[in-house]
Amino acid sequence: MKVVTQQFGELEIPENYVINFPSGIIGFEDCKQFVVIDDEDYEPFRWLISLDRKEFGFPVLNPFSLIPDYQKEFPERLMKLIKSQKGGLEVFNVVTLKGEEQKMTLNLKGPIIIDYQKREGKQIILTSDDLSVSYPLS
Amino acid sequence: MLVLTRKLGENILVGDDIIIKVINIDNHRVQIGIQAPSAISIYRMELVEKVKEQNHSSIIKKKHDLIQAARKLRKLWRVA
Repeated sequence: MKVVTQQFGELEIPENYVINFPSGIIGFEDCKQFVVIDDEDYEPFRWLISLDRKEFGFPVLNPFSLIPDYQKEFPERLMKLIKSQKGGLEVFNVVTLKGEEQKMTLNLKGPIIIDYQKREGKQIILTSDDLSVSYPLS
Repeated sequence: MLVLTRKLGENILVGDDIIIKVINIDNHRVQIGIQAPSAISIYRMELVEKVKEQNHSSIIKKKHDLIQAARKLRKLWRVA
C-alpha cells in the first residue's frame, strides 16, 4: 500500500507492516495505525510513523542493550513474554530532542510495546517512581 | 460526571466488572481500591499527563535534527 509520510515522502509499505494501536498512544488516541521504519541515517533510532496523522512521526529506541536494568521495571509476566518470543514482541521508548544543544532523552516511564505477530501495539505506563520521562542519553 | 459520596468501606460498581472501593480516609488523602479486568489500564492522571506532554515534545519537525542526534549517539557508543 502507498503511504505518504512527512519524513520520507511516499513509501510503498506491505500491509503486514502496519501495526494497529487500538488505544492509540497517550495523548494521541486517534492514531490507530503506525509503521516502524528503519533508515541507516538515523541508526540506532527507528521511526514510529502514524498513518492517521501524516506529520506525526517520532524517534524510538529499543532500550535494553543500553539500560540492561530496565527489564526489572516491567511486570514479570510481560517481561517473560518479551523474552520468550524472541522478536515477536518488542519494546521501544520514545526519544526527545530538546533545546539548543538538542539533548537526547528517553521516556522510560511510558514504553511502547509492539507485538509483531498480532500486529498490535500500545503505550503503557510503568509504576516505579524512579523512572523518568526524560532519561538522558548523553 | 457522576459524583457520589461514600463512607469508609462502601463500594461503587462501574459497568459490569469494575469495582471502586473506599479503603481508607486519612486527613487529606483517600485510599481507593480498584478492581478491574487486567486488560483495563489504571493510571494516576498526573502520570498520563506527563507522558502525553513528553509524546508531544517528541514529534520531530526537522529530520536533520534527528540525523545529527543519531550521529552523535553512534559516536558516543563507539567510544564507550
